[in-house]
Amino acid sequence: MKQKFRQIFKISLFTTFFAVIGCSEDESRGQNAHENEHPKVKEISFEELLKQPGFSESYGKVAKMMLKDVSSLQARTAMEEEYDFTISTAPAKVIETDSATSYTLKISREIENPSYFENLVVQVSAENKVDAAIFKYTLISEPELTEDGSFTLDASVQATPIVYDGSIADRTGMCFSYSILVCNNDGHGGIGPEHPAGVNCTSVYWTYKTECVDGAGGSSGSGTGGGGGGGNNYTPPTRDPIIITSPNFEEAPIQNPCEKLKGITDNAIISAKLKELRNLTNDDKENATTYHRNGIYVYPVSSISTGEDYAQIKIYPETFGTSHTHEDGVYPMFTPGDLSGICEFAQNYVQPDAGSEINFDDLFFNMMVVESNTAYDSQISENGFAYAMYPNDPARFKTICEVLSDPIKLEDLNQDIKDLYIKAGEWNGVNQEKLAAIFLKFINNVTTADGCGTNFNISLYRRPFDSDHNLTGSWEKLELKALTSNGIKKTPCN
Amino acid sequence: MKKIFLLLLFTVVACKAQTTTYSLQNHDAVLKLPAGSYVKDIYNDFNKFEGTWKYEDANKKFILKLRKKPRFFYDTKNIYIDLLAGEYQYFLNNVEIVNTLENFSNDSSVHSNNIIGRMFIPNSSYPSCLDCNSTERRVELSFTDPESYPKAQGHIVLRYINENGIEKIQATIYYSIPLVHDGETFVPPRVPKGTYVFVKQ
Repeated sequence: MKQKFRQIFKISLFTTFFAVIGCSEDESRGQNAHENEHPKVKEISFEELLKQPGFSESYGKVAKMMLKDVSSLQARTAMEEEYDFTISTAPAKVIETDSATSYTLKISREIENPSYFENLVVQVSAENKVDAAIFKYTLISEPELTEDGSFTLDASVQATPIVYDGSIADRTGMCFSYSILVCNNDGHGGIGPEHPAGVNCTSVYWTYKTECVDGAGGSSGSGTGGGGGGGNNYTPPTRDPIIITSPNFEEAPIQNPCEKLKGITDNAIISAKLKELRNLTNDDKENATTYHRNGIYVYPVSSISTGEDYAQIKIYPETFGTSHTHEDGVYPMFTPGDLSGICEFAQNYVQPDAGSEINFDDLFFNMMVVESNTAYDSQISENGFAYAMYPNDPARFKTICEVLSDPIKLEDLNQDIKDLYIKAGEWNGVNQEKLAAIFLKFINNVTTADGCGTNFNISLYRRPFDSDHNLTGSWEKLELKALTSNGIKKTPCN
Repeated sequence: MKKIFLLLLFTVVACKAQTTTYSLQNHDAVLKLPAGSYVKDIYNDFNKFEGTWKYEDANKKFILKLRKKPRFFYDTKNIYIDLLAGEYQYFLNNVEIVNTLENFSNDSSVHSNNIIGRMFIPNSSYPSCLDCNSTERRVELSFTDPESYPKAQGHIVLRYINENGIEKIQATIYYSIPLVHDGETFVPPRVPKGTYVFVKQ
């Protein structure tokens, strides 16, 4: 019964190993050329990066460094083949400083080894000089999630620069400096639970290491400052260029939610049901339709009323989603109960037979249909929206599903979100982006059974209706700008 | 000995003084409050709902018993809170359909009653109240049928009305749609959704 759910979580198992950066013993936080710079850490999908001229050009150069006589466009795939790794489609960590931009891409080998992970780091300086290295992090202890959505990492680090002669093997006699950005949200200068800096880090610190390789090929430890650890007669004149990185441990998302949501709402049956629900947004009862599959077909089941107008939603092993309205005046946006509905689908779903033409079965979804009530909402869409809730990270999704499986806890959470919606203002008087921010901030900070809070990495998507109540335009992703922020970042799906 | 006594007394007073009181009407219960905080029905709005109330029409009889649970320990939040709790009895054609009144005094947990809650809702919340004045506060509580399966998320919205000295409660019951797994039998709640006007007994 739970085969598919387990399969999804298995894929993300590696991400659950999460944990710290116990930066090596020979690291330092000494003075250097970057000390007054304030690095910005962002996450950008690899596909998006390839569209950025600055990245694609420098990336092409790196590929050519590693493979002679190959054009940059061909180089990417050829490089992956030659060096036996695959660049993950997971978001890259992009670090911007005053003097350089670095791109940290997760790479994987054909045979996965959970005891380590690797990153390809490509850095382009303000003068357009390109440097690159492969970082290998061998785990000493299991990583754990941190409150800011990053992870702890206790690992030994092996950094291998890629040099211009196309070789990544011969490093004899050279020294190489790098900086791993760490985060300590306590902000006390590196004391406390440090971990790799992620997008939500409020206090980023530099750590430095210089590795020099002697004639025998061994690596000697580095010291603080600009020196390097000795062991050979090669002393770098300066610590620059220093390759800057923050370990990238993210797994690629299993699906692209934008494509999946488009696939779902391109389905004639589902889009017709959404239109039907849009016509019921002022109803004095909740209305819902669940979607099931039968071979290649989707079949919808609307909520069934029995006797005194009680309704129910049946969940079958082939149920993969639902769309619904709330009674006008009950909840203006999603509830934790709505998320628990997705949990129910995921936990009970059975993968259909191969050969199915429906390719969105892995995206368990819950959509909510609303009208536009405020002037702000009407500016964006006069005729309302379909909202979809999407858990971006299966492992964290599993954790929050465990929390929501406790009916008492779920009831408390439903009460709490209602308190927050009411606190925000009168029903229908608060714009939906504010409500979305309230929901996302609340649900992504739910306390787990062990008393810890975490970022569950749940985001919302929405798509407008036209005046005939047909969906129009494209989906748009709504996510918090930061875990503790009320600001919403909007990213259109292409 | 006297010094020890005074020290203990001071400690107790000091600890007591540190308990901060918050407002239910201001929806402070949702905040991440320090352990031991007290979220109070600061306007004593719950008091007027206390008592036994009866609704009766041609074929239905519906009795509500409500009481305030002051300063109840909310273990999952580690705070104290004022709650409004109750039980009910429902007849259809003089046949008792459901009776939870014997559970009225159950104080074993925050969720131990079939009617329980603390939510003050604005006039625009469901069911919207067009004739409520701007300072009026309605209460929304959870409403459970112990034999329904799976547990339908039931709610009861209470509005207190005093009509020429006759105390009434206008109560609206509604349910969220439960998810029923294949192979399970849905047992619906036995009290129909709808609006009932109760008179104080």
